[in-house]
Amino acid sequence: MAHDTATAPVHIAVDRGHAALPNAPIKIRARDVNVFYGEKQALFDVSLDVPENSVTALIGPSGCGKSTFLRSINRMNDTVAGCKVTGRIELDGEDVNDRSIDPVVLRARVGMVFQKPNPFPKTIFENVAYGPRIHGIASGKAELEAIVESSLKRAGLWTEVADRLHQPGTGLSGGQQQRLVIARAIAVSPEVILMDEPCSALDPIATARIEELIDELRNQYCIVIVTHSMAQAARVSQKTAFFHLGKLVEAGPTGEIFTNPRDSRTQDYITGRFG
Amino acid sequence: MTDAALTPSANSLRQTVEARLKKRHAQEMRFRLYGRLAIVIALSFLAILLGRIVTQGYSTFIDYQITVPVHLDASKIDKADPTGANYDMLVANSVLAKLGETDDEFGNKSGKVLEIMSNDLGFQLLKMVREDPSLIGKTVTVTGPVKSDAALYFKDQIKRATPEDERKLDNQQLDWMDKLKASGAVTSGFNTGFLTRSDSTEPEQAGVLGAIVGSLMMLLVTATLAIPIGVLAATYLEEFAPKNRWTDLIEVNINNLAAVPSIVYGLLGLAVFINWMAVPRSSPLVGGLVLALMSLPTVIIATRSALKAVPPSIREAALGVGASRTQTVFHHVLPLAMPGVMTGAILSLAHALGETAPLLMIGMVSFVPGVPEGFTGAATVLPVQVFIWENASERGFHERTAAAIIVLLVFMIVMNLAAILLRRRFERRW
Repeated sequence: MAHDTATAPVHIAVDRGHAALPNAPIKIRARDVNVFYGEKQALFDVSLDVPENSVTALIGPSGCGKSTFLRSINRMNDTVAGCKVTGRIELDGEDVNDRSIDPVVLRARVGMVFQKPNPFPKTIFENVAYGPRIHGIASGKAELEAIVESSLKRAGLWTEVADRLHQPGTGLSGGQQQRLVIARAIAVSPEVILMDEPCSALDPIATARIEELIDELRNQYCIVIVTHSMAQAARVSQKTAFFHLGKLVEAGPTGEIFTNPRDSRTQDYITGRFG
Repeated sequence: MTDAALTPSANSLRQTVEARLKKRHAQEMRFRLYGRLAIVIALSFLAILLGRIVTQGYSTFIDYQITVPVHLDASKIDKADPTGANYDMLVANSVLAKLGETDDEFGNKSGKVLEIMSNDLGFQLLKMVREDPSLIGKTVTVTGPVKSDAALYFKDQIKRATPEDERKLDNQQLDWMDKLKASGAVTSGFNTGFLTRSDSTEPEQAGVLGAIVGSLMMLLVTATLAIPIGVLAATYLEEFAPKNRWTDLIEVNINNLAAVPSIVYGLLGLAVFINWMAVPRSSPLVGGLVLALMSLPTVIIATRSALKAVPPSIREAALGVGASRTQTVFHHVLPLAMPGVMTGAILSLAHALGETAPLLMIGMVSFVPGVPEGFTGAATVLPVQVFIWENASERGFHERTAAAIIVLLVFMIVMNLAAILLRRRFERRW
């Protein structure tokens, strides 16, 4: 019955989430997800629904499994030796771990932005054009240029780099690099964008710009963001999920989680009593 | 009261720290001193090595040529068979005429002249006559090196002060040489022959061209095999192979192979390439194959460490936009690792260039008086040429040994420079 006690509050929280976001269809549905790194279990029976066209924040203390969960969604954990995932993660009803799903296609549908800005050591143009090029999305040079331009525009970087597209992307500032990386993810027209602490290496001004951008992108994409900053989660997300020691403690509309958490651990964490 | 109690103890703490501080500084000074000493010792050994090689070898690059008019006496050359004539004797008689001497009936004087003139002059005459038989009966001028002992006298390495019976040339020969030099028949100049001729039994005619070409051909074989195979093997092991007991075992073995004495690779090459696969012995092909085997572990290790140095964030970035693993590796990781790969590869080739022991096992230690006739022809290489000349008894080969080492070192420096330049170029690209 340990299983039930671990997941019970989650289901309640999800239900409350539905009440708060009644019109949002579910984009990602995770059920009883367990992740093991070799002998060590990093996630225990996580079940979570992520709604479409919204920002879902995953919060929790370091090592609580929120990044592990994020990386399970686009199967980045495949690259980790000895990593095993059980349970079901559905993207539009399809199990992402199904044999018929090619991780290459999955990762084109589910883009990812990492903690540290990691542009390729190539030009700004090449950084954005790489995804469309390997997937054969653009049929000609003009179309590729159009994709690069619109991606950079949507990432709010176009005006800053339009005149230096052919200079190295690594020469940009940290915040610009992170927006470049977001443009690179957008360029392959993903449905979901996963962000793993995208602002932890940035100064407050660059952070504010990224947060604005996340808010704009929410209209077109389903965004899941891992963050250490409670304030950031409160600012950008509509739904928040709190992880602790590999378990999902509570999930629900952000307003409710921050004002009226059901679990005492959530309460302690968001009020800064541990973390 | 508390203040009074605190102040002395704070002072004594400072004293303790300061006393230890002196010791700590002294320790650092000592370590720096050792470091400087080590560098000074290393540099002085390098200076001794280079100084010795250069002082011993530089004289090779000066040679002494004699120019004499030779009358191609029709009575001594058979028009139908010009090869049968004794051209050396014609040269000797011309030199004697120039010296104002006449040969005695036993040919003692012409014999002594032949001890200071290279037989290259005679070969030149033969070649001229063969190409143009109409020269017979006329007088032609030939220029060729003096014998190496004579050159050593000009270079002051055979000294007149040495008692006559302890040197190779007697007083009369020395007098003749002084006279020839004074008359302008013997001139000195840069020894182009050393770079344009191949090995010879006569030191004054021996050069390194055959060895240079042999070395280059062998390195070409080594590079075309070892670099692609090594880089791809390392890429597979580092980026694709599962990490388990078997790959660990392979890794340990590769590291051990890098430490296997090179002569063992020679034995392997002898058994596999020559005895079993019947590759011609002493050829650039078999030498290149053996050296490729020897270089592979080094190339693999260098490539793996270069791949390991590429930040994982680049792999994640590429995988994150949906690149396959092959695309991730070949579009991003390997190009980023290229400077390290190139440096490792060129250094291992430079090492292969200087390798001698395994080549002795596959029969490369042979007298090859010419440029190799292709990848399966007989060849010699620079380090083996050094080895062969070092063993030769004629004194003229001693300076040539040092000169061949200079040529080898120049090649090494060029390759290392190439490694540095390539590294710079690639790094600028990224």
